[in-house]
Amino acid sequence: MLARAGAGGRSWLLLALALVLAAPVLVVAGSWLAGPSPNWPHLRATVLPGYVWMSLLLALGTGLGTLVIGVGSAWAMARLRFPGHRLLEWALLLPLACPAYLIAYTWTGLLASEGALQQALSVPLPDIRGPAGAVAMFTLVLYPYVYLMARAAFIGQAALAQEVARTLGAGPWRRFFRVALPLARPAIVAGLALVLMETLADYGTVAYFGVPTLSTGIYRTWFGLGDRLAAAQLAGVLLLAMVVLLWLERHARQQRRIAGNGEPAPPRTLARGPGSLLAALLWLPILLGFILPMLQLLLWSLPRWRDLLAPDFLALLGTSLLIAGATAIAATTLGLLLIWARRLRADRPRRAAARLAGFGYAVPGTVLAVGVVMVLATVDRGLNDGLAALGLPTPGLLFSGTLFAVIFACTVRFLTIPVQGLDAGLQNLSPNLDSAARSLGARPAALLRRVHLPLLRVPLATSALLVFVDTLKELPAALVLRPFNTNTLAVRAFELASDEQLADAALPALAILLAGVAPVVLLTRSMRVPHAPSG
Amino acid sequence: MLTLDRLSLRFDHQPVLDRVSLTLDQGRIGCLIGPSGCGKTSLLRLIAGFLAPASGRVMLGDETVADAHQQMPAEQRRVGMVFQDIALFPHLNVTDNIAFGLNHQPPAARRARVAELLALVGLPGLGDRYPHQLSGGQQQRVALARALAPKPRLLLLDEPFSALDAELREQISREVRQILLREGITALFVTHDQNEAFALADQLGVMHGGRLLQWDSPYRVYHQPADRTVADFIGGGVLMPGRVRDPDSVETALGPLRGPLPAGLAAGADVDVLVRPDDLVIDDGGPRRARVVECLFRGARMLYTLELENGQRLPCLAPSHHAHGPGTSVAVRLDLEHLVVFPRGRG
Repeated sequence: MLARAGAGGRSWLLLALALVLAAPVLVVAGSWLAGPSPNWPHLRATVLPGYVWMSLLLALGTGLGTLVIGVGSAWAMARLRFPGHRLLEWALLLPLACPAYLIAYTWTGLLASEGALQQALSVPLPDIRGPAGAVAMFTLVLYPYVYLMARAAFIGQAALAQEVARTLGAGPWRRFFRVALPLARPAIVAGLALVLMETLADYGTVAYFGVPTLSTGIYRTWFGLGDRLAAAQLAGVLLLAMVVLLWLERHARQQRRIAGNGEPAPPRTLARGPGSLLAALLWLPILLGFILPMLQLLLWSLPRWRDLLAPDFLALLGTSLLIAGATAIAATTLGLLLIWARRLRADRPRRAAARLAGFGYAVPGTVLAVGVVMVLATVDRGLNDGLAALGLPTPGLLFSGTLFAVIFACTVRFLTIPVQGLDAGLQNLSPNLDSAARSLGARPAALLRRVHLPLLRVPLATSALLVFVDTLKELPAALVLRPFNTNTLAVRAFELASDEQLADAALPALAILLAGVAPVVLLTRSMRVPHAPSG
Repeated sequence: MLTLDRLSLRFDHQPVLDRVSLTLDQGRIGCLIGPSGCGKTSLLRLIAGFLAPASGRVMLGDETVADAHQQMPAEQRRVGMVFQDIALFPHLNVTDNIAFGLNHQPPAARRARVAELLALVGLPGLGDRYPHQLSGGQQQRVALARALAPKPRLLLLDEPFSALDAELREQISREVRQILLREGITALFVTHDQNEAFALADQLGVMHGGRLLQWDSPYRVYHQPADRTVADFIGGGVLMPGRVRDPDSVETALGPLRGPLPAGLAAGADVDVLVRPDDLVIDDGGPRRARVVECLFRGARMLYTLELENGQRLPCLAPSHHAHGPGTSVAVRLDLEHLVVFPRGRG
């Protein structure tokens, strides 16, 4: 007879692991415990109101912009049929491949006085480097979040709700504003919350446009003012906003209403004229948010194609792939460990561990960078002091001064992706599969190897790919945490662009953009097929 | 073979099972029946090793496999289980599903056992199919074969036929009983379907509110229910008021009824008498008259609701050669083999 001793002890180990992964965030949140930094009154009197005001302004503008484009396109795609509908269905997601900072610098080049557009149109074009330009850039690349959520909600609405409204004499406008829109509201709010989180988290765009926000403020306070505590406390303010948005998003998800069971309303086919007009209108955000920037990048890259094989670019590519690959493996493995352990035994520490692991995505790269440096520097100092005290050789900045810091930060930030993906994947599997395997003699390790891993192949691969691409695109954490003289594609593109070497930045930018298309393709596949058979 | 000794279970301090005891002999088929939430599935999961008891003991043969302090892991108990949702491994074909528990055997022995089981459950030649390519009944047979493959000491079946439609359910449950008898398997079923329970079980247990109210042969559970709850749950009868006349008879609206009474009932005590639909016979020579309130046509039989002169309503299952419409008056007689009497006001 064997007792199941040790399972409880392992639960606390798992919670400890989750706490280590959450440490950078907790350190930032806890930075207020020490009392405000000596610089805080000064910050509050001078720059802080401006940071907060500007962040709110960008959030408001981007929220409105994405709402109009996202809801409008979602409704048109869900309810109407017109020429090119199928192509548009996934093309509308393409701007998602573009990090905002890339399209920001590409558009700066496009609109520059010597740029292609200016030459072709021969009219003076506005300078987009300002708050309005930033809102435009965010709107162009972030509206797909609202589009995705709203589209699913509109498609899910049963015809019945519309038909009931018709029998009560409601015309098309009234039906849209009084029936379709309210029913889709929770989904739209959830999408909007994601948009606002991305907007507030952005560093590259606002830094490039010289727009002072909380995000750039953290960076400036840290490296300009040299006050790490004040930077952490600013990061804490931003974190608070994120927590509110995260709560809003989760709350909205729970509120999602089932708009009656039954057949969805059949879409209406538009006549050729209005249909083509609508299609042209819907292509506009894709043109501005993906096609034109892509063409501009290609145009810049073509004369430099030889640089592809230059040692500089290969080193850049190698570093980026190494970081992205290591992060993808680390995040997927850790996510699997935490989610699977909770499946095996859902006690309190294991549930807490899995929940802790899901919060990283809400933490902007700048905030995370502050936290990671604070944690790893402490670890390094402790390690060096300890070894020195023992008379052993000291390893230097083993964690904070190496690629480990970047990989750690990205793992914390993107751990949410495998956690959510694998959680959903496991929830699709009947708990009785586990019971069946165990009653047939399979120990936990065999259960994982023979049942769960084969059945989780798809979510595992998807999560790994998504983490890989997101890490490739990640700018602020890499910018702050990379070791001296080491660059990633994203950092290099940003640095060159900031130095007005727009054309030189094109090659790394194009690499990021192309990598970004992969998850979009995945997303469109999951939109088409309800769920692939896992057998 | 299986002995449960005062087994209790709690979820978050809520009692789920309360001192359940039973014994099931080698090669016998037991069945637990009860309304949903009565704890019957929890009891199976506890025996299988997926839950740990708060107190009491689970024994397989002479071996204690679980008590409040120590539990043998499910994977070591050699207790097979068939699940309500069938739970075949979707990524494995039929052969690999059945062979899942045989991974410690040499390949030749494994192949032979799988072939033997496929023949036993009547699915030879379907070894290469995947679960989603099988019908519900076929999937259930594969699940049974998978559970039987490692020759478990005990087989547990949790509402194994509820996912099947009514016709198939009866056929498969009959087949399963034959397979279990042929293999000499000790098995414990859980169901909420009385007909299934009667058809399958050597021993029948009625559960309610976490307690095992009666553990007996199906015949005795039907005709000699241990208490009101069992009488109420099994067989669709009603309790008709009566008064004790003398130590072996009761006066009721249908006249005096004779039979053994529970000890300690004095003359004049108020009691309830169990009347089953098949106890009441429509007979032109019957001593009492009743009015037809409702009749439900059930093919071979007709289920009447009859009302006696004093307003007492009783169910009556009669052959459907004669139909008596609502409102008509019929003569009835009570044909009671077993007098079941419960004192009024107490359990």
